[in-house]
Amino acid sequence: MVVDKKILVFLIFFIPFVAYSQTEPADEIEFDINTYFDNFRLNVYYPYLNVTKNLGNNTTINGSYLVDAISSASMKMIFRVDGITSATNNKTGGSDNTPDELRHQLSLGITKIFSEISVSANGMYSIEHDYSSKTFAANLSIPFAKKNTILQLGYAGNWDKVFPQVRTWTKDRNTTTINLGLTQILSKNIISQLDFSFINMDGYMLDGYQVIRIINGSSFRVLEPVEPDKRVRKSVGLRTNIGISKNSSLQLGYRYYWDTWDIKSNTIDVEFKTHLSTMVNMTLGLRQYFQTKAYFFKSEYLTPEPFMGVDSKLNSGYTNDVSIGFTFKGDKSINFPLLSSDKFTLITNFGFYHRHTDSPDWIMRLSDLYAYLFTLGFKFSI
Amino acid sequence: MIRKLLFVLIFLFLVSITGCTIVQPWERERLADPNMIFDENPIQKGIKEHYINIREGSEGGNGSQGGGCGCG
Repeated sequence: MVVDKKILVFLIFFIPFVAYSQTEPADEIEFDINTYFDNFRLNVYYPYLNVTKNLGNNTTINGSYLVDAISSASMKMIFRVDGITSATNNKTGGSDNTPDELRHQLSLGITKIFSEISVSANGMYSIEHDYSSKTFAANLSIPFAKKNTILQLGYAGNWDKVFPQVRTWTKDRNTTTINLGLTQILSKNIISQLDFSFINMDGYMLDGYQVIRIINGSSFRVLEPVEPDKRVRKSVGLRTNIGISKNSSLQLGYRYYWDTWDIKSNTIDVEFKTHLSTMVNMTLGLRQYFQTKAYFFKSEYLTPEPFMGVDSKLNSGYTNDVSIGFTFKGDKSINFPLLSSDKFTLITNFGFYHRHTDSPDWIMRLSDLYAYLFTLGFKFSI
Repeated sequence: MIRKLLFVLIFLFLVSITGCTIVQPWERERLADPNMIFDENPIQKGIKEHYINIREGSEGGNGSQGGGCGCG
């Protein structure tokens, strides 16, 4: 069909120059300290710095730097690998107080508005001692019907390299993501967004550390998991934001996901936001997620099979996620350092995450993961 | 069953788009409130997606930042 070919040509040539919203981002610095603690004795600290600067002429640049510092008690076990993140023991990690694994991530981006069309491009590089990742992402945002309708197109390419400490090889994993979004104003206080994602993954899907124990009577063998080297993932999400009063809004969302490994999932989320005062804003979030297992995943293997996986992400189960967050906007009437500036915003968030899998995790032998997340940060307009 | 329900929801969404009236820029005071913007803080969204993607088998379909009055 001629129309289909035109759409394809449009996607190929225009997606790499993509964007977000029609309004230019403000000049600001944001710095957050995020922490994660769970009952698998995993601790993660990730400070994040982001700077956005408007260069004029409808052009904005931004840069960010993130450090992921992971320490885990499970690393001291025989496998020297964390069962959740596959973080490994670094040279100085383990029983002392230094992080077991450090990941550094640097990204740079530019956004330009041409007439009403917003175009952005971002590059990211992430490195740790056994993994590296390069990403290029682009977004395009086109308004229609007096900006009542906005079409969003997104592309991201990831080129990852896996080089586990316990192996001598380096393997590649390449990922292409295409997003198509449609945001629509439905009335003076209702706005909806429909989103479709297509993700194509090729290459080595494992991390090089997980193992499978095949028990046969009194003997057992330890083998590496084997996963297909191709995965196509698709998802459709629909969410609606309703202004329920002058100060409050309610966001309802649903997502359906399916892939070529036979994983299907349903996600429901609800978010309530309200202005408690002119300076304080509160956000309450609730998310529920249900997942089926990958076709080759088994809780235990009795004989070697062409494909074998032990990663809990491939198992069936569900998760519950609740969060509460507050932002405090500074004001000259406040007699307190930093908060006395109206350019300053304090960000706080607390989250609780519970994941249940239908069989125990491969290394810690637990079916339920309970995690606590804290964020403390600030935004400063410059 | 759930997949059919999703397609019904998408169908209803598309029907609602074709049937809705244009909301003029001066009528978007409520929509301009930061609380009405999807993913008002994309940094926090990215961090949340990062820890969820490590622990769950699904990815994508979470939408992009947008909304507000769109009259800038």
